[in-house]
Formats: sequence, structure tokens, C-alpha cells
Amino acid sequence: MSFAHCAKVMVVGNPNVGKSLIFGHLTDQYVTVSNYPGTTVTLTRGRMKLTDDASILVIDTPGVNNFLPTSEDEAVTRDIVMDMAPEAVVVQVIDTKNLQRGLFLTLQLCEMGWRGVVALNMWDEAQQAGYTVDVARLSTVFGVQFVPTTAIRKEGIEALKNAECRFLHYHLVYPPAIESAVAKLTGLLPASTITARALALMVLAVGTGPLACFATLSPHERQQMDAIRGETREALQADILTVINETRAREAEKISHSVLQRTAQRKARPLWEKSESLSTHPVWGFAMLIAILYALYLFVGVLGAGTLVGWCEKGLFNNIVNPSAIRASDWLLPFPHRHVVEEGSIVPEYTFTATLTAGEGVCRFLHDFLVGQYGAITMALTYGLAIILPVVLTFFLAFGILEDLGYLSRLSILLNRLFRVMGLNGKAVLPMVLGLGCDTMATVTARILETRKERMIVTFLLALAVPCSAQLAVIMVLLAASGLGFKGIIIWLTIIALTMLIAGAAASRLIPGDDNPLILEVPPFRIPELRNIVMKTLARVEWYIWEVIPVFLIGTAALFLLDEIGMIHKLEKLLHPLVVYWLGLPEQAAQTILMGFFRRDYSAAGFIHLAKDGMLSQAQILVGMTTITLFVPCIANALVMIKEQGIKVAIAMIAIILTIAFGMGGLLYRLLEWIPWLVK
Amino acid sequence: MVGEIKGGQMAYASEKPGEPLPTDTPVQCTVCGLKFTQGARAVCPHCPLQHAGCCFVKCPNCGFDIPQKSRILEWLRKLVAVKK
Repeated sequence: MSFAHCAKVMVVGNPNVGKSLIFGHLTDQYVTVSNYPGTTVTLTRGRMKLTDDASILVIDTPGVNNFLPTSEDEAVTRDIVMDMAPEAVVVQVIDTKNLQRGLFLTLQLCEMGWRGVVALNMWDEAQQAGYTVDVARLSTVFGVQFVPTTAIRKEGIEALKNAECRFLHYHLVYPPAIESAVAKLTGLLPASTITARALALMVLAVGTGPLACFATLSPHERQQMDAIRGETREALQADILTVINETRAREAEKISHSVLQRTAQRKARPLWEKSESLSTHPVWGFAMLIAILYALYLFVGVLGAGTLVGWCEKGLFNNIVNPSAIRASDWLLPFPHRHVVEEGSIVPEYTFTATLTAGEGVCRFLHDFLVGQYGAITMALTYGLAIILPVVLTFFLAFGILEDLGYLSRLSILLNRLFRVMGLNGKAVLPMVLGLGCDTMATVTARILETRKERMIVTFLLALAVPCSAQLAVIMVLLAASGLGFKGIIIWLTIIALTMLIAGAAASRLIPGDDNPLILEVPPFRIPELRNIVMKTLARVEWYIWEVIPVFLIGTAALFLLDEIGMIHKLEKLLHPLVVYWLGLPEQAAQTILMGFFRRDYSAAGFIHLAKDGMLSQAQILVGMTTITLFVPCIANALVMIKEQGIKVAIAMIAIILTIAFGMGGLLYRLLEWIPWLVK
Repeated sequence: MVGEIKGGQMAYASEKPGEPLPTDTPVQCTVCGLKFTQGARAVCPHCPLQHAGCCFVKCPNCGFDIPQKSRILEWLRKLVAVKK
């Protein structure tokens, strides 16, 4: 039977095997994307053109690793598989390099009694890795056509479209206790579109609860089935789901070994391979991480924050840009005043030389808006372009090198172990690592997590304890300028990690259930290409300018207006107990903390200013940095929290985060008073 | 979330009218290794950072944001091309 005789085609496969690409090639016409009813899982439907007048429906299902579901995606795919009409066929897409993982699903499709065809995708990559697959033997084993494809280059697609859809067959024998239970259950099962054997195995593995076809069962019938499950569990002395999965995995491995051969060995890269294995080692991996952090500190903290910021802030902005802007404003908006001169350059501070008229008052207002203490140029642009941009530039350069080196995926694996200690799901590690680039983008990424609870926890931890690139950069500037150096980074990192650990421990109590494994295809280490690094760094810097500078300008305008109506002083008085008594910071830090409500890095830049004016001790810098790091990252992040979690949850999260931020800041202040030898 | 796909390429309301649909240039995620096309931007409508300066493509598997082009570099290239 060819596709022409089918009612529907369903594309299934593991995640990350090129399923959507194959779907795209099968459907040449417009298709729709919508959520599966009652879920957040996205389904894509399209039509495959057969003739000018005829076409058939093609459904792209979410990637799954098992039809015995552990996630919403897997449950949806299982439901679609079970709801399909008998005349529908399946196109299973397999990553040829990971044949065993794909055959694990093929065995389940066989048990369900599906008709279809299997695409051995990423065929080119398997060949490049030195693998050959005995396609004919594989087709004989399962009774269906296996078609080699390289979807990204559209190779093999025509052969796939013209393939004959036959019944998949393979009789997998389970341990006797399971076979006996399957026989007993078969007589009790309701009618279904899949075989009684497959349905019986599903009941044994996950019970009748989650399956829609059992909704009409009487309580007595349910009890009978539960009793059979109980007997089987006792006979096996093990979890039935685990035994079924292990039996299938062993069979998939056996078949894979019989058809897969490695004809060519990869070129030996002893040094790279040693580094690759060390980078995820439970002990050496962390040693490597500390070494990388130190190199990052030297590059970003010393070169970027020290040298480049010195050139930009002092050389360019304080000596050229700001004095020129002040002179231009004085000329365009005249009023009687004289600017203070520091180190040969005029600065925003000034004294009046006469009483102002109404018109001069307007000029003064506009002048201060542009080049005053809270001026758009002298504060917002100076912070954004002279202090943060050079450090962000060096940070993005280093980030791009680590990314192209292939280190970020290994960092995910390394931290996966640590996060599991905290009770976090393995898959949750990725958004947390991505948060080091941008917390807002990473919060959107939390959508890849299966449950609402996981998404909530990750959103919360991202906002609480994962500093974004811009903030990391500013922290480096501040710690370098304060003389705390690498020691400061280690202290700050320890406090933030401890906070996250405590929050993670709380999260582990909030999230019951099994852990999901982190499945990641880790690319090998490779030498980054200069052209790529330059493009990525510039692209990220451009994004920074688009995203951050407008927020700095708005924040500075808000501070300017608050200052004009005399509110800054009142707010400083209002925050006095919190800022001075609880956090042990000078009163002027209140406005810096207010800036943190716009962006954490904007506030941190304010701390740099205070530190440069000699108003902060090393201990106060650490307290300020810790408090600000634990703030909500930025307005955009708060918006995406509201969008993803709803306003009530988002407000609750923000309230908890601010409480933790000030709480930890105050505790650190007291701790540093206890151990004065740690920092000056 | 509702969008449209033409020949496997996704086009969302976030894209400006008149702009060409994303090409089918393959992109490989530097974190998880997934190869995908630029069209797979399923989360863009949910992102508050989708302004004109955004040139990132999000990996549909792991969510990593991969920069696709630099406007400065494009501008420099055009400048060099005009001078030649």
C-alpha cells in the first residue's frame, strides 16, 4: 500500500532527529500550527499533494523517546497514535547515528500493529562517522521499508514518498510473568485501534488511569486489571515499567548491533578527547570550570573592565564626549551657571551664578535632562557605552569562543549532576545555562520543560540567581576596580550558589515525581572559527545596544524626574533603614538600588560610580553586588514572567525574590562583620 | 499559538509584512548539535525582546539563542562592495 491509499500520515520519532524537516518536505502546501486540545503541546498539520486533485493529511507529532509517557509531549503523541484510524500510516524518523534509540520506538510501533515506513535520517552524518547500516537486513527484520535520508539536503525524500507502507512486525518476548499477565489482560480489554497485546503492555506499565479508552470501564473491571498488575509486580519483584523498558532496550540494542557496522575509525584526537572527557568529569570538570572562570576573569575583568573601560570612560567619555556635550548644551540652552572642573575636564556638577528667569529655568531643565547628574548622555550613555559596553564586548567574545569550542553543552552535563543534588530535573539545566547569556530569553526557553511546576521553578531560579551576560560583566568591572579581584568573584559566586542551592532544595520538595534524563547530543570540541566569533560577538553587542540602552535612558529619565520633584531625597530617607541599617550601605546607595528595578546591571553600574567616588568599602561592594544579583533581572524579564506564569504568580515570585535579595544582603553584611579578615 | 508554514518554513505574525520568509539555510545549534532551518522560530511570538535588532534564532530542541547575522558586518560588507 502506498501513501495514495492512506487516510492520514503521522510523522513520529525521537526528539532531534530531523522529523520536522521530513514533515516539511512531505508537505509542500500551507499547513497550520496549533496546540493539541487541552495541552500546551504544539502540533503541526499539513497536506501531502498526491495529484492535482488529491492530497492526504500529514501530522507532525512531538518528539518522544517512549510511548509509555513520562511527559506531556509523550502523552500527546501516544494519544494521537491511539486515536488514529486503522487506515492511517506512520513515518518513523530515526537518527541513523543513534539507531538503537530509534529502534526502541520501532519495537513499540510493531506491537501496536502499525503500517508504515521508516526514514533512516542523518544518513550522511552516520557515514561521515564511519557507520554502515545493513538496510536490507533491517527491512527484513521488521518487514517494512527502511529508507536512507538526509533531510537537510532533501536526499531520499522522493524514495520515502514512493515507499510502500507495510505492517511492521516483530514479536518481542517479555519475561514469563509479563507474558502471562498479557494473556490474562487480553480478554478484559476494551476495543482499541492498537493491538490488544500493545494495550495490555500499556496497562501493565502505566495502569488504566491515563488512557482515554478505559474511561468507560466499570470499577470491577478496573479492580481485576489492577489485581493482575499487582500479581505481576510481585512475581517480577521489580517495577513492571522498568522491566518492559529494559526488555525493549536490550532487543533494540541486539538488533542495532546486528545491522550496524563501523567501517572507519574516527581520526584520533588524543588531546581533544582527553579534554572532552575531563570537561564533564565530576571532579576535574569543576577544576576545569574554575580554570575557565579564572581565564574569563583575566580576559573580561582585567582586560575589559580594567584597560578598555579606562580608555572608554576616562579617555573618551570623561575627556571628550561628556565635556563636548556639556559645552554644546550650555551653548544651546543658556542659563547662568558655572561647571565644576575635575582633572582638567568639565563635569555635570555646577553652581548657579545668578537667579534664573522662567525661560532660563526651562533651559536648565532641558540641560539637566541631557547632561546633568541624571542626564541622558552623562549618565545613561556613559553607563551603557563607556562602562558596560567594553566589558560586554569582551564577555561576548569569550562566550562565543566557549560556545563554538563546544564547552556550553558540556557545562550543561557537568551542572546536571550538581542540579540533581538540588532536586532539579536534568532538562532544567539548559535554560539555567542559557540564562548566563540573557535571563529573559532563557525564561522563554523554560517552555521546553514538561510540567508547569518545573517551568515555575526554573523561571524563579533564573530571576533569582542566574546573572546575565551584562550583569556578569559589570560585576567583573566592580570587583576588579575594588581590588577584590578573583577572590571577590569566588566569594560572590559561593553566596549566589548557596542561595540557589537553598532555593533548589525547597524546589525539590515542591516537585514530586521522577527525574527526566538530560538527553543531549554533545558536539566534539573543535577550534572556533574567527569569522564566526566576530559575527556572533557583533550580533550580541548590537542586541545589547538595542535592548539595554533604551532601558538605561528610560531609567535615567525616571531618576531625573524623581530628582526634579524632590523624590530622590525622600526615597533615600524612606529606604534609609533598609539600605543603611540592614545592608550597611551609604545612604546614596538607595538611588542605586532603585535603578535595580529597571535592570540589575544598570544598578551595578551605579555601584561602580559609588565605588569610584570612594564611598564603598570592599565589604559594602560585596553586599551591594549580592543584593543586586538576587534582584529580578530587568523589566523585560518581569514582563515575560507575567506573560508565561500569569500576573499573580509573577507578582508572588517578584515579592519572594526581593525578600531573598535584601535578606541575603543583610545576612552577608553581618557575616562580613564577623569575619573582618575576609575583606577590608 | 497559530502560525503558517510554507514548504516546512514557519512564518509568524512577528515578522514584518513584506519581509521575505526565512530561507531554508540549515543552522546547527552549537549547544545540542541539532540541525534545523531558520524557520523554526516557534517561541518568537512569546518573546518580549523581538524588536528590529533581534537577529537570533532559537534552537527548537534546547532553546539556545544562536546569532545569525551582524548588521555592522553587513553594513561594512556593503560599504566595501560599493567602493570596489
